[in-house]
Amino acid sequence: MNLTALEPQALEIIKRYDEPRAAMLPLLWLVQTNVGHIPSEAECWVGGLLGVALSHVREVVSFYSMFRTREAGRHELRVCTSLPCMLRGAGDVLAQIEERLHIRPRETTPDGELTLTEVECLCACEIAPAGQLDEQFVGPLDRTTIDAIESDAVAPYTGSARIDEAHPFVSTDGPVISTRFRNTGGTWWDAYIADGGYVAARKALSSMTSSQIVDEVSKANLRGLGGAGFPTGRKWSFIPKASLKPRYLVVNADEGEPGTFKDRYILERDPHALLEGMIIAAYAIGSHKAYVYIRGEYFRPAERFARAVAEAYERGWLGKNIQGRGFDLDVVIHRGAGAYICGEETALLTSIEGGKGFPKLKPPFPAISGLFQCPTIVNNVETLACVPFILREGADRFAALGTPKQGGTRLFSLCGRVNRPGLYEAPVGITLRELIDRHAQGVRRGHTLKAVIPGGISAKVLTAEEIDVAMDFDSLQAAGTMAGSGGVIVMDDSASMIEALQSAAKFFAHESCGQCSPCREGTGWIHRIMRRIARGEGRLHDLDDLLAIARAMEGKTICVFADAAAWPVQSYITKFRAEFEEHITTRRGAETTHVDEARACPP
Amino acid sequence: MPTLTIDGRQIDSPDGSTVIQAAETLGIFIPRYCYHPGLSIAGNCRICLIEVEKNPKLQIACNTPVADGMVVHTSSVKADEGRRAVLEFLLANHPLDCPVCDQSGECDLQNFYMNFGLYDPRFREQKIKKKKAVAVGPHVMLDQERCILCSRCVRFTDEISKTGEFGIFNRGDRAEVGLYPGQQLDNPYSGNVVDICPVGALTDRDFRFKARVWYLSSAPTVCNGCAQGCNVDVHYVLDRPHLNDGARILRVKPRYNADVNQWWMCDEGRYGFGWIDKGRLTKVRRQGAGATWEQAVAGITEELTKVGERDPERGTCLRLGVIASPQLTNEELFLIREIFQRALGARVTASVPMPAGNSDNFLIRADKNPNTHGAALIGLTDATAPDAAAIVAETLEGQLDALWVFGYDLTKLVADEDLQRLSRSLRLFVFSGTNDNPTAGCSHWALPTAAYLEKEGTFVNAHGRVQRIGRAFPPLSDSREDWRVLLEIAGRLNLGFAWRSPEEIFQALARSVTPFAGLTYERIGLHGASLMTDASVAEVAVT
Amino acid sequence: MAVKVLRRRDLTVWEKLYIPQIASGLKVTTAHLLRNLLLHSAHRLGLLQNRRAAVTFQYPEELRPLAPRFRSRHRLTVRDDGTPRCVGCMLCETVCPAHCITIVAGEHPDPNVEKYPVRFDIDLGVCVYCGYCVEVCPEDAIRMDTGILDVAAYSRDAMKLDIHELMNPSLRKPLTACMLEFPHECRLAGGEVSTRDHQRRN
Repeated sequence: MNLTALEPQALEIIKRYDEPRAAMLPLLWLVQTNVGHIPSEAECWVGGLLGVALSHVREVVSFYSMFRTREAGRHELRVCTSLPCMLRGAGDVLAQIEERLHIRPRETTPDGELTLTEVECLCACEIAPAGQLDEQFVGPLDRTTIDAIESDAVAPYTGSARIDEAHPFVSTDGPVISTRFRNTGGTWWDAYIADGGYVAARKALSSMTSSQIVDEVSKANLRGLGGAGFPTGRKWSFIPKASLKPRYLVVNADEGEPGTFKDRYILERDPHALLEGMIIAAYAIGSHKAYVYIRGEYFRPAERFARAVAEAYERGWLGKNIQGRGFDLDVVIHRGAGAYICGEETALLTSIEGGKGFPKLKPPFPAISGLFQCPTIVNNVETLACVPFILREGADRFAALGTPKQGGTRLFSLCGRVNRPGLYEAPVGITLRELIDRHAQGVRRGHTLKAVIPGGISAKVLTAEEIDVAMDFDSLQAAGTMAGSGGVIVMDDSASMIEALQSAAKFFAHESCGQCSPCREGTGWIHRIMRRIARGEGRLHDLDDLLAIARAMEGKTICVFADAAAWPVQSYITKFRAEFEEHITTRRGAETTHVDEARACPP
Repeated sequence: MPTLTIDGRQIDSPDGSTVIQAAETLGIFIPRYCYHPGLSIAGNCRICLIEVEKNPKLQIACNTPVADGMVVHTSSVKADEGRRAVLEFLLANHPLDCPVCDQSGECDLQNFYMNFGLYDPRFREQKIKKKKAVAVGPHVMLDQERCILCSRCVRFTDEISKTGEFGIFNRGDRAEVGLYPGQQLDNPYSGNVVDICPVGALTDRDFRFKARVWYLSSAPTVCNGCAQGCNVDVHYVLDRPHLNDGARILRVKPRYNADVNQWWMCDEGRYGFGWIDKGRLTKVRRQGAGATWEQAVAGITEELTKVGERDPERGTCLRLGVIASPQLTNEELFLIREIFQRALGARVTASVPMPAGNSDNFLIRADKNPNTHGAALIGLTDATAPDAAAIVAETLEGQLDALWVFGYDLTKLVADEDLQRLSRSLRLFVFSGTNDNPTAGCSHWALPTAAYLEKEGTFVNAHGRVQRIGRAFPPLSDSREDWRVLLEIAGRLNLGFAWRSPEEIFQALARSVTPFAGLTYERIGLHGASLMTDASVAEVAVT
Repeated sequence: MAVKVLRRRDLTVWEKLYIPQIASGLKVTTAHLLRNLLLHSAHRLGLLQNRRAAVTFQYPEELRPLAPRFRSRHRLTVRDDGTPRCVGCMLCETVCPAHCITIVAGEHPDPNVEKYPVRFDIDLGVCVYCGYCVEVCPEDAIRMDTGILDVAAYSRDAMKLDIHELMNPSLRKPLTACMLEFPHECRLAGGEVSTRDHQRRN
């Protein structure tokens, strides 16, 4: 392995970043892409280039799931085992794959071709049970797909994939975000311009001031669609006007919440919408450098977004003196490497800075001291993708689409045991019932709805009686849950709440960053109790213990991951206590859920 | 300056300080693991949770800046509950190692559980297994299972020793502290991570299993390893000779001093105390045979009275040379000056050549003597004065008839045969020191003297700070403090000194040597005092 | 507080005569004598074994049954691999009110055990048999359940037990052979630590 050959590329990468240490993740990716894994010499090489102690390089390598320190197969098949995929039979699928390939997860086939790994949510829940073969998402993993994988294993993604791509339902009618989603290969410059692209950005740069833009966005009632629902305009106004430090706009494209897959579609089918929103936002907050953090598993989305960025540079919409308005903006695409916690805004910043995804202590808040200790605004992809519409069509029009406190539409990711999983754009005030019954065509014939998680796995569950609730942030909060990322996970009567909670517990235990004690120990503890209950060795007091642990974790940690880990425990056990008690008292082992492909979706 | 209320008590705390610091000023102890005043804030242990009025969530005291009008409760019901919850999480996977763990007795998990916990544990799962008893360096042992991941060691090696050995690998509850595979913890301050580790994850290999912590007694003193004079606490056991092969000292820990060493000390000083219990001179010897102090003092004084007198055989005066040591205390050097230089007109020096050791820009000084500066101030290392090499040369040429060497081994200056010749030619050759060496072997009188831990006194460090050394235990066997021997000889020589203790000697010293003016043991206290001038030797006043 | 006056019953005339009381006492002892004679003879013939005659225990052939909690001579319990269960935590040495226990700890090769006693002495001449060491031990490593009561010796030195006797209660002084496989302070080696796989304090 010749690392010196990589040096020119490495130096070019380091130049892109404000501090050399921030080149840590891209350099590690450079090594792994070229060498296949990250051997010890490579760690020394990277450490030397960045002036970082070896122990800290190893910290980063060991933290992110996608980095490998040992040689692996030429190809990698990642099988998702998070809740939405488990609901559609991922457990069985994994067992089948293991049997056919004769290897367990983390092992490689004897011919060195394929390594099998078990991963948490790939955010491809609309094609559940999902997997990823090298860079391509594959799913649903039915017999045909597994056959194809086994026999052909595998041309790395070149655009001419051997594995056929599924075509789940995706909204294409807008009115705000999905208008260009019918371009499955991506909406590129000419098509985007023809559809009214960059009109909003031109308006912003030529005739609006920062405060005007902020006011307009506030008037539109745009709320953060990554999950927190914080009013976007207000967030932008937190940047201290007097600060002489550089300001950063950071885009959170580290979509990771199980049940959600919306940002991926924006990146793949309409990247310019995001880019235009970014330009407007950067202008509004006075930022001249934007970092886009795209999760490691999103290979094609990152490529497509990079293409859009290149187009924008060519056309004078990025770089120096954009459109002659005297405004500079550079965009750096930064790839994650497999850590859900990097979706937390301050963990994302730490990750860009070259460290493990450790959330930062607050205070100080990112708007005051964020990336490289400078004022920073972190926004979600979807949130920014709404901004061009707001400036082009008017804040009132956007606001009118939604509720009095939350404007516009959003992309709802429907998955789990519905007849038509997919991505649905709808006004934020739509009810959950409408989403499930009218859009996703309800649950399978012969089955009844049992439970729905309305906002990604962290959201508290709603029973079948509670789905007449509007899907905006405030209504769902009043109903005791949250709108979160808009990932709707549907469970019917064939789903076991014990298995669901075990899957959720496994997810949180796997993804906890481990920085602070309540979360680190609590998530692991909860997972171990759930495994024991699922094995049939539970006791009734375990349920009260789980509730006590969840309660003890809440409100004591650096970030809200611990709270998010606690909510499923609290809501599933409280609302489905009888089922848990019955499982424990009858000492059943966990039933593996079977997915009969023929009957999973209606003809 | 913001005023806040903590547990009903008001305090003004500087802007920018945190609640945990403000509470400490009030004497309110908020439990903490990851917080250390000498390191950056990590805020990850979450045990310093406090309730701040008007804030629905508990806050961590170490990262909450004080604000005017803030009202804090450190042990309200909510805060107590929060703390107990955090303790339960920390102890969930913690191994039941107390019987075998050296930290037992000074472990913050134990202490905080007794003070703030006392709950019934609910964890019934299999605890996570990690590596145990891993030697990460020559001085430190790591046990990953016991680690609570407070990251103090990581921050220490990043911020203080700046060597970056420690890291926390993996994620979630698989996280473990460690070094890069194949690397060792070998920076010169590695022992400090044992001090700061609140639990038994990092323990001292040198101290390992020697004694239980509650057997130890403690005495404050100052390290004599170099001219920095780091403040330390010496931990020793006197009543259990079966431990530690009978050696009295078990370990040395740094003592906080904002002006000298903050919370740290170097490894050389920390582990360099073996000579205090091994290889000591324990008996007075006369020409190699045992003798008593009575005999020694009498015999030596007899010769000393002849100093200055005319030797009838040779026709010249008897001359005395004294090689003092910059390892002696100021009191002893002062006595040497008064007795030998002033009263007896001897050739006295404290300039002994010592190969300059390594130094750095932190705590390690190249000068490995603790009191060179004191010797200079007292006037024993003048440029005009002789140095040890000169005195030895004069002795070999026959110009000196008596020689008293304090602690220094002359074979560093001359060959063995010359030493023998010197011993034969002198009328009086006294060696007084703590440990045996060839010079003691061929001296006429070998006097066993006390180590710096066995006597009171003061040192002046390289920065002009005078600090008290403390007496931990009485001198070993027959050894005596140098000052006591000197006072006795002075008494026999009828020099009329009224002093009876180091404190009194220091009073005289303070009156006589200007930089020490106005100082007393009380004023020096436990943290020392800065001397008036920047210690130019010429300012030494003569009484 | 009032003074209570006890009225002792006066001796009856019969009692005052003295001799009848002696006879009455002799009646009791004679009855016992005859009963014991009968029963012991029967015992000799193998009959009436279930009835106990004299209450005297014919020690040492017949041992008095001890309660399970009775504190007799100490012993150190042993693991499967022959090393003592004791981990040298020194809690017993600390809690002992008589300061009769002397322990020096060493490194156990198994990192999950970590520590064990290289020296473990109990001076039976000083021990007060309080049992605190047993109560405080976290490893159930020391027990006082050997049932051994005969600890008398001809010298004080012989009453000092060390790790050999404590691990093997059937051993008596003087020690002739050392069967312990781990490094320990061995009297046979002159009090030095035996050199087998010596890893102490590296």
